[in-house]
Amino acid sequence: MRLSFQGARAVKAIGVVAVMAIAAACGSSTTGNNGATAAPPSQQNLTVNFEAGSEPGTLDPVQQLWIYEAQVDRNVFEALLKAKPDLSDVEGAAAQSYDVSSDGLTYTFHLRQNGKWSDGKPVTAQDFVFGYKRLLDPRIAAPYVEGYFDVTIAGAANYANIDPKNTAQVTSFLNGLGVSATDDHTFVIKLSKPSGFFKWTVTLWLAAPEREDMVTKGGSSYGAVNAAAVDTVIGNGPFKLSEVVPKDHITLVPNPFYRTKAKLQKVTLEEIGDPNVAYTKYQTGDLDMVDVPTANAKTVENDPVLSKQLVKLPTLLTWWIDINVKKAPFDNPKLRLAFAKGFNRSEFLNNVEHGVGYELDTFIPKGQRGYEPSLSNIQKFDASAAKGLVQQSGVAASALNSIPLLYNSDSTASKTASEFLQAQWQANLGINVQLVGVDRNTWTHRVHKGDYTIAYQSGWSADYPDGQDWFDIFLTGGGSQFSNYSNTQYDDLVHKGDAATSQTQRDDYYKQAQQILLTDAPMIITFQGENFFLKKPYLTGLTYTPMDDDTWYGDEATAATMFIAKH
Amino acid sequence: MATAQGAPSQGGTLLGIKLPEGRSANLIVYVIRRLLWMIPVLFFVILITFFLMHATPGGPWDANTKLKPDQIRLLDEKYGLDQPLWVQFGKYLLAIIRFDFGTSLIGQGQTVSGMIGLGLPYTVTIGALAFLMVAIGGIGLGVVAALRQNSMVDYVALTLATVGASTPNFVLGIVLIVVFSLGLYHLTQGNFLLPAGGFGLDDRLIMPVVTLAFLPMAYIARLTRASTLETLRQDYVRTAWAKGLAGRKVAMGHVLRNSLIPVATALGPTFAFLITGSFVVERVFQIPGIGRLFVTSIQGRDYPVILGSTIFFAVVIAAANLIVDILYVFIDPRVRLID
Repeated sequence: MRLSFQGARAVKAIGVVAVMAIAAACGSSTTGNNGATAAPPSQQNLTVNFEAGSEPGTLDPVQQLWIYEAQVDRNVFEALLKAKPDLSDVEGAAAQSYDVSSDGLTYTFHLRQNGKWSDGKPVTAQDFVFGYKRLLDPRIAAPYVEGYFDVTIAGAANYANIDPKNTAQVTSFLNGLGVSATDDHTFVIKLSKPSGFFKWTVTLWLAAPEREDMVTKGGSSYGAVNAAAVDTVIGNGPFKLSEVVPKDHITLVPNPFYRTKAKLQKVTLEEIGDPNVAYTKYQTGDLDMVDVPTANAKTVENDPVLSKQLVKLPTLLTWWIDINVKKAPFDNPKLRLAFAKGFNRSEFLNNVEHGVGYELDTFIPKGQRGYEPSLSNIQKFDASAAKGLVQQSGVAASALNSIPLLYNSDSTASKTASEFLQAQWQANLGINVQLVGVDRNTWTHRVHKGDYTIAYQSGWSADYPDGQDWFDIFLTGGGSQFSNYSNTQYDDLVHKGDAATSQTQRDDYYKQAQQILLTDAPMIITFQGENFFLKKPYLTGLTYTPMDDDTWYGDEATAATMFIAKH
Repeated sequence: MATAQGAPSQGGTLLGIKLPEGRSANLIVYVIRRLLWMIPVLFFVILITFFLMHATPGGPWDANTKLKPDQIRLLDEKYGLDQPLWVQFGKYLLAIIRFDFGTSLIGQGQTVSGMIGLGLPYTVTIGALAFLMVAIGGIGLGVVAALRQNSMVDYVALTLATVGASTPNFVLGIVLIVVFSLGLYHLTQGNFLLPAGGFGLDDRLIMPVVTLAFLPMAYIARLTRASTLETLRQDYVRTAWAKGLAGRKVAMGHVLRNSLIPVATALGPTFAFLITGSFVVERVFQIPGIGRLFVTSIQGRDYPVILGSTIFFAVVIAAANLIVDILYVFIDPRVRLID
């Protein structure tokens, strides 16, 4: 999942504070203008800001984590499979097709015969073996590796117990992994147990093939964001690196050997840290797409010119308030539910988020399989029911005095939101929470350690549109929940949903699990995020998907086919 | 060289301005002494920064992601953060003696000295230009305002100085961009006057330099004005007038030189402040300098970068103070390092 904080969304992990977001409708949408004539190649330049205005920390795909890193490498490298634009299933990417053995344990990927690296060498199954082993090498300590060692690839479960300084142990661990090449174009992955979702796991950009010769050439600084990366970070995706200027910009040009040559001749990703400056630069024509700073949302919607360039895109991101269920008085589920039902979400969205986002009362957002409007009532705003729940909870009034609400004081939006919630709970429940503001890293540190009672706010954005990616969060001991939540009935349903091979069966297990989760309320759903951005009318041929999450919108499905029309 | 220690009766001090007289090598000795003094100063700077930074809640892996404890263990081992703090501190000291400032925890594979080296030219260029603007503009405005006290020029200069002193640079930067970049873009159908952001040795420098210089320039202008007014009231100035000297001679020869002494004191730290960069200006104008590097390293708990930048800033500030102290000799006849 990707995460978010202050406008930045990280992939996988949970977001902290703030505000950007997504909401989803279903499926994909394509921009108009498809009959447009392309401008000459010299004008096929796209310039966007990095997501969150930050350059990548590394260009080595296996070491990446954040959206502003993925937006480079998912276009420079290509994984085995990718999501179909309507997210209904996966389709071939670097692999043309794949088979699953009848026991669900062996996945065989048939690589494209014409797959090439950007220097013209063929992409082989051995390159995938090398990439996967590097991803799982404990000496690399890849931050986003969890989905590969935890529940899936055979032999990887011991990942976390390996001593990285013990070379013999590391080597035997890597040799024992269930990844192999049976010939140049056949890559085989063995799993430790059947997993209905595994086809999605291999769509992530970081599960990329890598070039052993280039990694060796780059040495300890392979992937470092500097000019040398152009010569060593060689990928198999539609684009290749052409210029890396640290703290300033990264330029991509088409990979001449990719199967469909990209139409854009140059894509520049600029590091503009201040979102208001990026917004200004869009208006002066220096950027072709830009996220609208939330405070400007209403201005843009009312502007005769800008409103026509506005795109509002649902995205698979759910925000919530964390509750520490181990901490009194929130060890009482009725009281948690009372807080969940005790604030007006539509006012929250309008007053705090400037109307950017979608109302949501369920865990799974609109646009993702498993969205269940029938479960909306559980956490829906209802002041009198909420008050009743406080009574029923039997928590003494004295225990409700000065409950601390931890928020990220680096973010104004987070402060505003917390003040709003404070006022709502005071008015609807008669409970006064105390606001405690701390800086972002302190916030994360305390929430991770469970050193909080209630905290604003975390979010999850789908890594891939499968229920497993969402429901595993709240498993007992789940790595990505901060609530200390544990319910064996929930765990059981989720494990069944993850393992089952029939999609209908899986959907049913997940639905029951979601009902339990919303009722137990280890978190309070706040809203669904929305991509709210401006796009120049001449940029065309884009297909958006609810998975689009960075400032280069449409790149998930159409990076190679979008173009600049004559204008 | 031993004589440099001087006899106390003669007022020789180690860190004071005055040193024993009659030795042509005294200035050099003085400078060497000051440089040697930087070693303990830097040691304490490192000591305090190191332990403060580790005492700050949160660590480099807390940026946002929920890593499992075992993954954090692997990362800590990879970067040596699993060792006791005093061991890490000792290793760090040994490394910097060899000028090895380590590698970033966030920018994978990048050395701290490489990161500072990359950002420095941008920051120094903008800082030096801003310093010129502060020195020339600030002193010029201040002197003119004082010589023409209560005139229109004075009011304009004072107003400018007051506005400058009370406008935060993140406001000024955005206002400049909106007016000179976006505003002129709309007015001139795209032939806008100033590009917003990016670095280049061209008109892109104007807005960041002005933004950076405005506040210190206002401060220097006010200081110069006050100091000049005070000097104008001195007896020796009245004497100069009484002797019938021309106005310009009085202003340049008697007033200016003496009124600049407090200004020079302020210019030293101002110079250090300007060439170490500003997070706000570098962020607003998309300049890849070290001001931004420093602040983002603190936010991200990128320990080696925090330490490296702090050491660098400490050296620059100490050097600027030393230069000011040396300059005193030339501008203040009452101060003597050499006979």
